[in-house]
Amino acid sequence: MLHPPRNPSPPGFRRALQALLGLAALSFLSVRAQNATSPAPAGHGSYIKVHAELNSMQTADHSKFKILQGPFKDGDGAAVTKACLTCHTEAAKQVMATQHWLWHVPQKGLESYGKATDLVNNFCISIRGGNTATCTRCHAGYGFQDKNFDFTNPDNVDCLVCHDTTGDYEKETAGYPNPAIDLAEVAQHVGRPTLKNCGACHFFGGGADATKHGDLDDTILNAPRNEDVHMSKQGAGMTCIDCHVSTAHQIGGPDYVLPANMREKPKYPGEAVSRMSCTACHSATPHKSYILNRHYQKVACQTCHIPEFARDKRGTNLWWDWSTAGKLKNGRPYTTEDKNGFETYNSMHGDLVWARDVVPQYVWYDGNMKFTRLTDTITPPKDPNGSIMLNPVEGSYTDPNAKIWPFKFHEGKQPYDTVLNKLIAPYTAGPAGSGAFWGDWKWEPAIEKGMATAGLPYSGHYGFVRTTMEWPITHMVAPKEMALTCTACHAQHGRLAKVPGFYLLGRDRGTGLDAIGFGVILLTIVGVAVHGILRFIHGRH
Amino acid sequence: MRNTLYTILAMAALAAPLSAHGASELKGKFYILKQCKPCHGEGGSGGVVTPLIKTQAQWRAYFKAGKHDKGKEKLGAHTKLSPAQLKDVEAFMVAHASDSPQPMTCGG
Repeated sequence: MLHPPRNPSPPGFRRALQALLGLAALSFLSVRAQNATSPAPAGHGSYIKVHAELNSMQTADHSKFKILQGPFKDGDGAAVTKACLTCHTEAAKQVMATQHWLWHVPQKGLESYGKATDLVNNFCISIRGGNTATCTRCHAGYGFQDKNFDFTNPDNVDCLVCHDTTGDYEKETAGYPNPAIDLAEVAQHVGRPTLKNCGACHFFGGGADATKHGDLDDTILNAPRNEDVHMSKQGAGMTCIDCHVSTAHQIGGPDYVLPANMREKPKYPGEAVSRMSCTACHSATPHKSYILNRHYQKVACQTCHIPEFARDKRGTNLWWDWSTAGKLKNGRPYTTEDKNGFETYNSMHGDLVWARDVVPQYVWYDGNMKFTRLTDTITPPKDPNGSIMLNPVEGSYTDPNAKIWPFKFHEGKQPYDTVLNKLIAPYTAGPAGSGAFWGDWKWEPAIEKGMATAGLPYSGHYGFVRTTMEWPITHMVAPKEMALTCTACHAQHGRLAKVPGFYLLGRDRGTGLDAIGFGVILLTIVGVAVHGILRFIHGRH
Repeated sequence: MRNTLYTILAMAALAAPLSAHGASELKGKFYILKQCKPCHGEGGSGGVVTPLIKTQAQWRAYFKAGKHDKGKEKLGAHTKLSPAQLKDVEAFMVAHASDSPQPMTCGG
């Protein structure tokens, strides 16, 4: 167990007995506290009933609205938005203040934080190098082709991507709807967002299903309870917005400044706030065991209750090596797969490693991260196996807000300017003859054009640097019977073997405590031996 | 003036594939997703079908023959796809066939 806070310990047998009685009383009280905090109904599809009830309480049938009868021109999403805004007059303004629209957080003075600006990752790297129209299939708007996109035009807001209930809505390049969609049919059947609405983008982070987030992919739509006890229909049957509660289209969740659970404090009594920490529903004392409940001081619930992530057939991407991308066979791109069907090479992306049932890595985390931008100067490691951490998390044992959290570590190699020591935004998504890497398979023009499009300096010299990203794991919570047991961590080579800064029972050796323990055992043996010898001698005489 | 010329050329290039065949590969992609994938997607009863399983010529021949399920039935009979919509599907399959300039793999 973790080293508990020190309290003065009264000596003597009587005091020890008092302490034991106190411990028992605390355990009892913790169970009482758990009962007093009535958690939300959960399990066995209980939320499915809640959703049905909520839907039955709607006061408007959109299929009866004349303005939504259409027909709308093929792919003319903006016409639908105009129709929506005739009644929902303030909705677009609300959406346009969110990250789903802005893709960065200027309202907090962080213009350079976000997909639309300078943030960089080690998956598709950046949209800035001319890839905007491809990436903005996941923008909550229409027509985000390049930096000239009009972020002030409310008609560009895409209402349907989040509110379609038909399952037919699909977005294409620059976020426009597929022209085959019957927009009137979709517009007449709008409602509260479901797993499918959010998952249309969030399951596909990193460019494809299951790529970026090890704990989110489209298997969740039909997940067995073992995969995700919350979102599985055999489990609680929850949707994303049951936890990620929204206020005026601001979806609860972390941004680059505020950790997720910090949004749980209501500004006024009765405000709908997000429930993104487990304790918001389960309380901070959900276990019958006092010892287990005490772990919450320093261990996130996810650490024990998500024993592995990517617990499904999809797997998730762990390694993406851009330095080997662009190989061709007979002048054509190709892919290779391993025996499990996972891609090991793709000319578009390079060498890849995918895995399922991945054991997380554990890190002290207080909810804050630092981020690397295209404008930041990096220090390439001298060690060939060294890596740059793109988003180091903050926290330590001494940090009262920090807990041990599970993470997916994603590694790869990506291009950087070897003279200016800055990461590069290449132009990847484009046709042959455009200079794009996926069209012409050459890095020089792809980098030159990418950096020119991004408006960033480039020395003309590039190389590849190994980078790492840390992705917190918080979905795919397993049923309690699959939670980790004590020895998963309390062991010399257990899961927390590399987590620093504290004494962990069962893991740590070589401290004075071991010497004291062995000393006590030795003294006991000596005492027993002396006592036995004395009795033997006494008996003889 | 030069920019205007480029814009006109670019628009013409974009429009050309549509006007030449009277079909939209984007629409075709949608119909495949909705009508074909339930049986021909991963784990489906009809086996996985992607544009990559045939060359452009093979796809053209397939749609010209107009047969489904190994020739047992007319193509489109089992779905709600009209002849015009089948043309859209053909456009997508041909555009991303194994020997096409943009074979459909993943990402991008």
